[in-house]
Amino acid sequence: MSETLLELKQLSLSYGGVHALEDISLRLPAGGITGLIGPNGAGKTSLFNVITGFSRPSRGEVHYAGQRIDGLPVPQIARQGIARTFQNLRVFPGMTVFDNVSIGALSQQRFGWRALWSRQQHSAQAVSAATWAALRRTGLDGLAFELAANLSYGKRKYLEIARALALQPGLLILDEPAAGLNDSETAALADFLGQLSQEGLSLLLVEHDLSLVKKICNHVLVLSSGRLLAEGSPEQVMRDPAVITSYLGSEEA
Amino acid sequence: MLLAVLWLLLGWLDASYLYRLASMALVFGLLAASANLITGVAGMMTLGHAAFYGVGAYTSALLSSQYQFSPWLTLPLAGVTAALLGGLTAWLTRRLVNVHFAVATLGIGQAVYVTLLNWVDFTRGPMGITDIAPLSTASPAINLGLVMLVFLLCYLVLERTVHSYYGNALRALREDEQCVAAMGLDPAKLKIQVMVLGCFIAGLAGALWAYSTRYVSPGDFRFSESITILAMVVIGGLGSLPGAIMGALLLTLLPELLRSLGDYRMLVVGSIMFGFIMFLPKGLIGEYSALRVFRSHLKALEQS
Ligand SMILES: Nc1ncnc2c1ncn2[C@@H]1O[C@H](COP(=O)(O)OP(=O)(O)OP(=O)(O)O)[C@@H](O)[C@H]1O
Ligand SMILES: [Mg+2]
Repeated sequence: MSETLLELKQLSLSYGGVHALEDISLRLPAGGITGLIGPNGAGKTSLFNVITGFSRPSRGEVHYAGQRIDGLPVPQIARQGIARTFQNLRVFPGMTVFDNVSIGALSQQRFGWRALWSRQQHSAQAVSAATWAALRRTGLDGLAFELAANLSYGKRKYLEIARALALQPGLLILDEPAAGLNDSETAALADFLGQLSQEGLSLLLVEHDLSLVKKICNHVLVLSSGRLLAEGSPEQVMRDPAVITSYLGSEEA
Repeated sequence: MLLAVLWLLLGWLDASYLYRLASMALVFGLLAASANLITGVAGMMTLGHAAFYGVGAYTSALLSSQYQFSPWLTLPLAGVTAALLGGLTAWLTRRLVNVHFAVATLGIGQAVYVTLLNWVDFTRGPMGITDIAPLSTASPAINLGLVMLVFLLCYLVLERTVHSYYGNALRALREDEQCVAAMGLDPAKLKIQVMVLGCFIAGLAGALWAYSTRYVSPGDFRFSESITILAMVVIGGLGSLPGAIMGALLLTLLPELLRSLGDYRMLVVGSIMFGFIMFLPKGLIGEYSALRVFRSHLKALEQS
């Protein structure tokens, strides 16, 4: 296996009395798509929040690309190369599609004040190039000057991904990317995520749709009541008796 | 260009009342434009903009009348004092949500007003500061021209800020602060920067006001002034720079044009404001239309 991209060491998180995460240790290799599954309230979003700095772990460490990142402020973790989307779709509705995506491009590329303060498309060519690249990558370039609020739900999901891609991350974290999409949209998304992975981007995603997980993920983590229940290839994990009783059994997959 | 025509026209009419009115419109134009940056663009609801305006006005008035500073030196100093207070406010409130920021600025507004009113030894309290030197000893027309010049410089800075990529970051801050952080930009930093710039310009506007009227008193910087400034921004269109200027023009000139109505004047002004909000909730020039105008070259460039 290739080198470790993300490593969690004995990670715990509690909200007051609730133990959202308990003693989680794992390594994520660079490249590939890792699926994170588990029943509602298992702590999947909490795990993402700890990795991206939105929550501070009560114990344990997070290492990304060889550097310890737990305790760092959210923007700094993002600039180190971890981009995320949110479970409850969050775009900037009052801004155009282009402007939405430019936010991702701004922080990654440290152009300094001159470029930041320049008019769009003039001297900050690198910002606009990165923005257009992310727009084309997600097929949103034709809608660049629409207000984000006017986009369909499916397009807004791509917009959120485009904004994250503009950051040029090393690791892209997606919280239920297929939620709310119909079958054909889900299939298209699966193809798209597969392509991103082939281009060398590492993905970590939460997904309830197990057939999607089987189709695109090469590694699966199972979380239950804040604990890491199992990990391995999709086939391995879904045959695991502990997983079947705790998760698959209850959801009838 | 428009300003030059206005200047020539006023010179031709040669009425000091009109000069006064024109400088008032310009000063409120700057106040509305800077409040628009903070509240309209970055989404930080400020209820104390008049405080930063007042700090600028008193800084320049005191420095020039008590310590004989040259007006041109006091202009930047007025801006810097107001910017320091604004930056400090933003730094202290950087983790608070928007409603709390609004109440904090309300508090700053009250604190500054009460200080101006009661620190009699320093500010001369309710009597205010009289006999402030004019910007220059040349004609009133020249003085108005100088006010226009400062206005223009500030406008250009704001125009660039609002329509640059940096402006995008500020709008994103208004839309979703957590998302901005997740995209690698520091919301606290953006908030402090935006308050420093907006309050610097409000401080400059205060200095211009002090030199145009040559008299300042605490009453000019009450809470109601902050609200008037906010109304200008909302009527013009939240987030829209040309809108803010139009809103300021409307709300400074309208009460003057309606002087003949006597006691009914403010009633009519109030009704007109109400009508604007009912029928043009996005303002005279909405943010989206304003951005489209300023960035119309964008599409052309993309096609080429
Ligand atoms: N801010 C919070 N304060 C208190 N408890 C919280 C908070 N956020 C999450 N929790 C609790 O932590 C546990 C894990 O929640 P989390 O959102 O991580 O689950 P999840 O696996 O993402 O679930 P879902 O599939 O519904 O999205 C739940 O018991 C939840 O109630
Ligand atoms: Mg979740």
